[in-house]
Amino acid sequence: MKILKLIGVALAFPACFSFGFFWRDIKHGQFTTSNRDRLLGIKTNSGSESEESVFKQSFGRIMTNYVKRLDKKELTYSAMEGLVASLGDPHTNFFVPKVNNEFRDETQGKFYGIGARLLPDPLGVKVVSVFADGPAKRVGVKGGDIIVAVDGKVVAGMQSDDIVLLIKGKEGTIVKLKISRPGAKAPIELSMPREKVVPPNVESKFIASQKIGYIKILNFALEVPDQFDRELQLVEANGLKGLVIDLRDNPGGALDAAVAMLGKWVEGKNIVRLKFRDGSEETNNTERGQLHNFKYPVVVLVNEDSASAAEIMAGALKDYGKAKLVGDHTYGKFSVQTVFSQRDGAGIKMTIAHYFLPKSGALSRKVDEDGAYISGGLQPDVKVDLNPDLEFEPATMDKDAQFAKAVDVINGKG
Amino acid sequence: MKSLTSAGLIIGLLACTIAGLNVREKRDMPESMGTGLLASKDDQYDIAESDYYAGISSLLKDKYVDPISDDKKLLSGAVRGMVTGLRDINSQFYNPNEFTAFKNARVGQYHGVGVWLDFKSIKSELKPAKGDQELLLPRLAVVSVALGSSADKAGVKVGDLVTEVDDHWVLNSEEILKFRNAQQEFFAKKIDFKTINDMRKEIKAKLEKSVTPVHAKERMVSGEKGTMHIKFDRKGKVIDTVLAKGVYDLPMLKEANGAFILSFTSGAVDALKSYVSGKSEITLDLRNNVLGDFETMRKCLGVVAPAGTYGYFSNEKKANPLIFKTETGNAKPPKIKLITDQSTRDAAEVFALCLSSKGYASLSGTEMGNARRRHEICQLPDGSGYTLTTGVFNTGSPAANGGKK
Repeated sequence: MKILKLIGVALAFPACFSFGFFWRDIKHGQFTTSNRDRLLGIKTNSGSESEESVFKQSFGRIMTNYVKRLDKKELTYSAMEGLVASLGDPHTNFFVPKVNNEFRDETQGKFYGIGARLLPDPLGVKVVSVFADGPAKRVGVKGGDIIVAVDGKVVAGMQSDDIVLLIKGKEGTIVKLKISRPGAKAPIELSMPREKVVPPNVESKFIASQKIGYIKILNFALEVPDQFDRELQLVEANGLKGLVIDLRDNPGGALDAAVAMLGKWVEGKNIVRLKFRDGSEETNNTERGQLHNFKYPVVVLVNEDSASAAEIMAGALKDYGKAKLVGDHTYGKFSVQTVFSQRDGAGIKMTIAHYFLPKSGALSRKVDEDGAYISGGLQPDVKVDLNPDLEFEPATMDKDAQFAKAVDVINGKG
Repeated sequence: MKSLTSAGLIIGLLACTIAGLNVREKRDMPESMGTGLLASKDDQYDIAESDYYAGISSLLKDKYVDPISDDKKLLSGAVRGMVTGLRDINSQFYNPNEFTAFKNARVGQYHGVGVWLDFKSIKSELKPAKGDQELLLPRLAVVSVALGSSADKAGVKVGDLVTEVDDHWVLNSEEILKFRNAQQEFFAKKIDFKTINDMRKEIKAKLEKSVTPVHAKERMVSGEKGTMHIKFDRKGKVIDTVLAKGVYDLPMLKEANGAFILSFTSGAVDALKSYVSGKSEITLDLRNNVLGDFETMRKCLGVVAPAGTYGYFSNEKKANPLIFKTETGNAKPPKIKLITDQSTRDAAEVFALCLSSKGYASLSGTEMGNARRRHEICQLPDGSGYTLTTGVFNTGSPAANGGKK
């Protein structure tokens, strides 16, 4: 009897050991584990665990076992970038706190600058043009100047974006620039205050030989409709045969600015319909009393970098038969984004609604898995490419084939 | 007295149960944490990241313009983000299709055109400036060719770089960075408009029809039907091929031309045992051996060589290196000759190094692939998976290597 008991006890030990060993399988309802993956060292998670717990395990595994030391915060942000990217929507992005702050400052106009358009240069950055009434213009900075030092720091060889960050800063603070000017013997030192700069979003030109007005809209900032009126008045004073509105490379901006622009052509008409996740809709109609009498044909230039509000303006003009489109198909961004900020300062810019044009509807961009364009965007009435062998000069008959075609269309030769 | 015995018994049984759990945990996850009853080790990462995960997922589900129903896709996306965020060409995320191809290749079955591919860093003199990290796309290189496959018949060799797949340019940051440098020279007026414009046109045409190295790899290593038009670069020479897809089994765990083709996959240990038995001299062929399983390799080491410490896996953090040793061994090892070449990588290369550094084997053939990394391989619920570099093999002991940790 005693022996039996002893045997029983002796058997109980391995039984308990086995129970412990196989507990995980029992818990997950899969007693046999001899599958190929496991034999070959592939770690799997059974289907019964929640996504959150698998995430937690994966996070811990990468943090602990990876060959290099990792920063917990950075790994979390990488995970969130991937999570958000899995939607496959190029306009829905996760922003780490630094990027989120920059984005907010930019969209809210919190950055203050000197009022100059800059291009990269091996010595620093080159001033392409200075804005009217801006601090740079007031102290005598000129187009062609090269900024070689900012606040005593030599900027040769730096990325132009980084140099711009040095130049920008809090409103009212002073920035000291060292400038190398073609023809000047010694570098020039100039100090100027940083101010809120209104970039010239609208530029115009009268092409006398063709009697054509040309107005370029660089983006859809809220001031654009007023700036457009000013430029329109300038070119119309010459007596026009036609007007070319250039929306090429215009990335869009405020929807309200585009709707206000269209009020010059149509009144009380629907421009876009916004459709949200919960099924709710919002319509944007033009106001009354803003009509302008365009006594001549209007052609709009578009290309693949015309997006968002620019596509709304071009598309609505086309849908209401107010203008012909010339150039290339547009980008195909028919969605609205908003930023949701997180407690730690990070944020998610997220698509929350789709746009629909009055007749064209939503022509959202479709790309293949490698990101190459398949379809989407507005198609131009007349498709023209730029001659890639010519140095591009906008609004010229010889070095801007799309503009030249627009003039043909105005002259009835399109 | 009797109750004391019973209490002792119960405690003993409980201890045994916990011992079982522990052993299992060690077996499944040798260096990481477990789940279930012994999950306490997870908790150190429990605070921020999972809150973040839950918070962002529910925000997306709530507000994103289109309904989101696939939680597994969100999870895989998050893991993909972590793995690609490492910016390490040796730690790779695989979508479900690619991961299946990877698993098949590990058991010696190449689908697609009959090669296995890996990523190679771009030339260091072209490393992009800070802020241009997204330009750090690796090159796609052939690391193994299945004998008799269409790639083999077309003369594709280990080391060839894939440059074009079905008339799509495989994105190559070396060329993009060369163009960027030329742009700077143009701004400095060192080169003229025509030169920069010709380069711009060429790059633009290539970019319009391009494929990422990751997608190119997926297409080449999956599928069984059809053909692919692939261009390779061999030291500046273009190799233009049309390759038929199929399923190509690597010869493995059998004798051929007087050598035993060893592969670190299921069944390897028993097959090697029966091959070795009774022989005083053996030749092992380690070519085309790029995805071997480390644990199988360790057991094979025990079949042909005495038990002992063979080296260690170093890491770049101040954690203790993982000592690489065998507990059981062959006290009367045969004389071993190993055949290696560029397609001897990772587990196979470590195997060869272990044996040659101890004088148990002589190496013949050409230089090995110089890939000595140990990986952890994990699969996710949607069938995707990833590899994670956990250490780099060194022979000797950590202290003897200048106390490198």
